[in-house]
Amino acid sequence: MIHFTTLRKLWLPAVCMATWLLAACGGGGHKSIELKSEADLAGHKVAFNSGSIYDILLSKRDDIEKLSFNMQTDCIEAVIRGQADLMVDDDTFLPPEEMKRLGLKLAFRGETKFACGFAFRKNDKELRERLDYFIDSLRSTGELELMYEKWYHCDTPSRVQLPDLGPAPTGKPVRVAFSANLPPTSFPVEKEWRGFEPELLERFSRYAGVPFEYAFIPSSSSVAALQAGNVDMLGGGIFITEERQKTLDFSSVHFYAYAGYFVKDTPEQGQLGFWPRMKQMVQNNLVVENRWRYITEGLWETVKISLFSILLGSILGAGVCWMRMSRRRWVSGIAKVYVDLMRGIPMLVFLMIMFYVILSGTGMSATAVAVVAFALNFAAYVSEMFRTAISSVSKGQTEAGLAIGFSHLQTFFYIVAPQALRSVMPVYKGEAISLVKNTSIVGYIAIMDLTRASDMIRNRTFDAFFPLLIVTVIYFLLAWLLGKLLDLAVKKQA
Amino acid sequence: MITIKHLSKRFVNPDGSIFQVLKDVNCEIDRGEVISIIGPSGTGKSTFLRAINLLDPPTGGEIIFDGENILAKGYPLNKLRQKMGMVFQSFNLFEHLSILDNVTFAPMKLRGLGREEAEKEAMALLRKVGMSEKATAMPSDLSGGQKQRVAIARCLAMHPEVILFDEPTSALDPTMVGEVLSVMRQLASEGMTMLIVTHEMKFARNVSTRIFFMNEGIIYEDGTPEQIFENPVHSATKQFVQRIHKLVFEVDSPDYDLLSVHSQIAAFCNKYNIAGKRDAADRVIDTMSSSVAASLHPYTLRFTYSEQTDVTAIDYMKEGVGQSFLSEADPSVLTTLRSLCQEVVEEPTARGFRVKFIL
Repeated sequence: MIHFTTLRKLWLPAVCMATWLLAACGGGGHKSIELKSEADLAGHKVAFNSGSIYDILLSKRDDIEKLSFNMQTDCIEAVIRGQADLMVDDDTFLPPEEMKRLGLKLAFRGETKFACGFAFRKNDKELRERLDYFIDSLRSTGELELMYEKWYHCDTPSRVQLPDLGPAPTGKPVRVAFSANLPPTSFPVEKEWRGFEPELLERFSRYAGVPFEYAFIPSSSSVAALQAGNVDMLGGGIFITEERQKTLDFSSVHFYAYAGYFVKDTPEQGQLGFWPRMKQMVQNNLVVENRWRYITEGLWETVKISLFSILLGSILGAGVCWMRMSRRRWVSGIAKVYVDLMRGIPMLVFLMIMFYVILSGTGMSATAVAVVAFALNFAAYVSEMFRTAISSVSKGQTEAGLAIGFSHLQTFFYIVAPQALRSVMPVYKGEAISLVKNTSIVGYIAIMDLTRASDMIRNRTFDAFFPLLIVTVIYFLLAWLLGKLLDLAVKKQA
Repeated sequence: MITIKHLSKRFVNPDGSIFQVLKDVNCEIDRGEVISIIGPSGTGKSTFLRAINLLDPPTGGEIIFDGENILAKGYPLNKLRQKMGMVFQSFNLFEHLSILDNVTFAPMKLRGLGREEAEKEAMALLRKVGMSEKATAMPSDLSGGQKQRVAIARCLAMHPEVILFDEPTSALDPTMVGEVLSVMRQLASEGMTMLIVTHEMKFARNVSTRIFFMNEGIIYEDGTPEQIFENPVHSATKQFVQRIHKLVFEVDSPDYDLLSVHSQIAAFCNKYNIAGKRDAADRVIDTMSSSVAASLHPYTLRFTYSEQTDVTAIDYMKEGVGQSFLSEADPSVLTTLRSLCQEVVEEPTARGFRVKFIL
């Protein structure tokens, strides 16, 4: 089925990847910077998370070069590689040991104290008020302070456990989106979310008798998810600002944070050889906490979305093609408008519109929404391919079929379609493969696909390179396998 | 078997104007007849044929097939077409199927034959058209003539009662016309009912039992080949069957474009299927231009072909001359020239003299 010769074709990509791998292990140049206060930032390149409070904070300053990223890992990587001079985030966002390992150090703390709380939709009063009461009572007993100490003032928060609170209540869960997945505030370990906020919410869950459900949604799209009703609460160290209070409601303050400005430091990690270093990467990124599970689960999600989208999209595409070729002007007109529209909207934008606007009230799972969105997009592209392929079969073939006694339908399926299929296959294959790769954007609607799986691991290990390498290889194999599969299907049909 | 009454067909052009291709076609076709449909191009011959099996449904009139009006609503059209085969100018073999599958496909799907039975029958038919050797080939591997023979076998596999041939040899290289015509000739001799739109006058004359001369959207004249070719009633028919195709070159200098003359003659011979005359024609012209005609200019060189008499000729004509310019020629040249043609005619004309080489 898969011959040796086809395996040989994998050599070139393999060599390219190896080259990249070696280059990536090198690291950037080193430049020491002396910074003491926020006034010293002028003229420097500062990395931060887009949509975070620091985004807003820094937006007022014209004297710095801003680098906005989607995740903390990317900020860290930018500093380590020298693309940014420093990064800003919560001063507690990195445990000391982690900082050392990565080669970062805290240059200074900002002067402003930020209040953190959970965000709610406006008018979602009941839950918020109960949570407020719970937080206030924890504070008055001093328990909140103890919890804060436990998570924030320890050396390795990633090893701290949640207390045993007994079985979770049953019922309709409250859905919480964390915009950070880092210790100590909120972070996932295998299937469980740990950290200061999850502990607080789990305690509240037992008190209020409602179960909680957690997901990771980056700050760039979490507010949209809240307002569209895809989640009920936002957490992950959300700062309460006046501007945000205009659109959102906030719970009581549960802790205060300062801005921390981090710069590059000489990494502690000595000059390990290539293989020991690789071994350490595998250990860190895949073995610890069973992190490989993110990859397998993400892969499953990606495969599911891809296959169902291709299947549904092809059927829809055939329908659109049929409409497009209809002799009725208005029918083909509708199809044409549809195709033009779908081709004119960026896939990411369309996906978010489907999730946050059009299908937000339907209760469909994010995966189902992704399948629908990708299928609709795929249908538009393949319908045009089908149409060209069908028109490229000469009219004489249809006439010969009819003249020998086939009905119109038989003529189409016995004679025209098999010939059209052959000519459409190369382009169709390309489009299907490009769909698989395009599914890497589904993380924007909180689906844990393969790309998001690498993000999750990257956020925990701060290793920008290894998880990316793994998913790159997996995507490549996936595309290659799909191509082979389609080739096989055509051969069998012929 | 087929009765056609007041058949008409009109097309509406994109600009809204109406084009009446068939005006009022009436005819009766009996079992076993071989009918050739001839006439100038654009007079609706092909449209007429395609109207009979409703590939281009007529806009008026009646077609009665075996006593039933096939234009009636609910008439089983697909069943009709199974009984009424069609062979196209552009062959239209199913490009995705092998030669054998092309022939077995419809019988298996429509006549319900099993593969084994269908293949046995198909091989017999392919043998009949001389194509059994190519059974496993794909259509794209065949020449035009071979494709057309397979198309005929494909048609026969449905056991049709009548076959419509829509200019079956017009898209063929002249060297391949013969093989297709001989298959058709064989079919005719076996008593197959055939309707053939064709430009092959010789074939029409020798094989048909009846000729329809179509002109201006009607069957202008209908009769036996002898009637139509020897004693046509209408002047239009007469004009059509007696028309002489010609190529005329005015030669003003000894440096005229001889290559162009040759290539035009080649194209002409291909068009009228007289490729066999081409070699002789070329040699007559070459011999003349290097001897007698070298100092003859200005003169007129004419190449003619009459379909009715099947005569091909080369004329050299010079004005203001009273006697044959061939007499000045070297005896050896004359011998060569005479050996190249059936007859050399030297005759005075109203304004000069003409030497005619009948090839």
